[in-house]
Amino acid sequence: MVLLSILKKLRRKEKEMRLLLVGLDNAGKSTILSRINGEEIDSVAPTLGFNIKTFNFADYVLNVWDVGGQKSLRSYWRNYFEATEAIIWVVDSVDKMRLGECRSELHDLLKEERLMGSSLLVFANKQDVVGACSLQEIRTLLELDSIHKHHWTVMPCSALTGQNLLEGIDWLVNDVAQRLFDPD
Amino acid sequence: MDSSDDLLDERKQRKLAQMSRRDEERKLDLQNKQDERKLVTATNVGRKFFEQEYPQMKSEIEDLFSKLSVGNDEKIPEIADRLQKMEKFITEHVDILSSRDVANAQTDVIKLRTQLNSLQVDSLSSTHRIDFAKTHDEHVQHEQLEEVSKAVSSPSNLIVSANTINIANKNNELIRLEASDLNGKDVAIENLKQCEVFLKGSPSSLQIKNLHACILIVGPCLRSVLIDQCQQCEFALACQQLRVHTSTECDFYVHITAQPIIEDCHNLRFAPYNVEYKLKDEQVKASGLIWTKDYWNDVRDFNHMISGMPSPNWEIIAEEERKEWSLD
Repeated sequence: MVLLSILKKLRRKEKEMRLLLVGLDNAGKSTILSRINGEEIDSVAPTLGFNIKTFNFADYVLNVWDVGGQKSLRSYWRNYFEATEAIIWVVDSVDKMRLGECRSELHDLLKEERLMGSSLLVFANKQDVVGACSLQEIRTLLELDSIHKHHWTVMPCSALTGQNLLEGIDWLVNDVAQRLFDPD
Repeated sequence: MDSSDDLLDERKQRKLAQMSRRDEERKLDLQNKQDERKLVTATNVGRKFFEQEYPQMKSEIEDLFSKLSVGNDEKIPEIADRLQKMEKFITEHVDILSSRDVANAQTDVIKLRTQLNSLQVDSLSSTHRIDFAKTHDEHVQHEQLEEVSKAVSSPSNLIVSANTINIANKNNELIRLEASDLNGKDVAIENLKQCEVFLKGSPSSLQIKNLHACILIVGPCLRSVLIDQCQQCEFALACQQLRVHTSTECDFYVHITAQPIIEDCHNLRFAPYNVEYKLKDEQVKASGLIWTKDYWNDVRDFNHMISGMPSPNWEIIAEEERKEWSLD
């Protein structure tokens, strides 16, 4: 118990959080990250490896790891699991052909032991496209209600318009903060 | 005597150095203050612009809402479009606004979006079908477009929802769609054999799967295009991002503003976008796609990430072999 309280104290001092931004390719992960960071989004290119961005949010320093979603990169996701407090899973709400693949990748990821206890934010991205799947459809098709071992929420968003991006991060940061930094 | 002169001289030098240093500092300080003032004015200009534009955008949307009546839902797409633009406008100005302004704007957006959502649900439950028949050429078979008004999910997780154009399971057909059918829509193309598809407009997103010996020519598309499992096809596309998976022997004529990527592909060839048609300039402008930047020949292969060594999976189409396409 002593050790735990020391650890907690250390964390409290730095107030750093590590967020893992994952999902299938073409979901809009890098675009979301650029948008949150206030950068131009019309020149975002497909991610060949990964991007790391650090920014301040409320009282916290967030380290966001944006890892490419190509099939050949997915096996490398595991390299980023260590010390991850939260997962942002980005879904392309327009890509109905691959929602099945998206579901199985997500549930495989959540089985990972090193991610146990991490909070999960599912971003149903590209809501600005007319004809995108609704929040309820995403929730059902990804079988989100079967997730019991993680705190999770799902939010509709658009990296293009900025809709709900900060609200989502806000939920995630609060959820992690309650777990890590609040005095028990 | 000499030594005291030296001392005096030294003192003088020191004093001079001190004075010039002070002067430098003063100048630097002045410069900083001027810069600061400039920055403040620039921000003020940005803020002024926001303060001018934003209330107008908001009141126009509210105006549209007030004009809606029961059974008259024509304006809903326009409201959705304007609301999106307003949200984008806020996002782009966030860093120069006070947190109170941002919070107020967000409250406005949430309020309007809730209002819009309740309307959209209403209009979907009433009969909401788009008639495609009137806009097509005679030789196009109308049945090939499957437009379903309400989302349904099938066991294979394939959904066809409102405002989605789904072209699927065709053999040996010519399919032509005009801008009025396409613009802003989400287009999915699947399981075609020996078809020629001409999309003369800007779909808002494009997904292509399992085409065999097909030709697909499309107008400018601001977002990303995803292509999977295609063989012996020819594509002409203008878009922001292009991802090609598990495809062989395909030719691409592309204008692209970020490096295209390929994965598990063989024998692909690339050339610049060379589609000409009457409304091209107009559509390019309207799409917002950057035309001065083009990475058509900078293809990244995920199966060949060795720098300095060209990938064996793609090559450039020799100039004399390049075809020319038209959408007219």
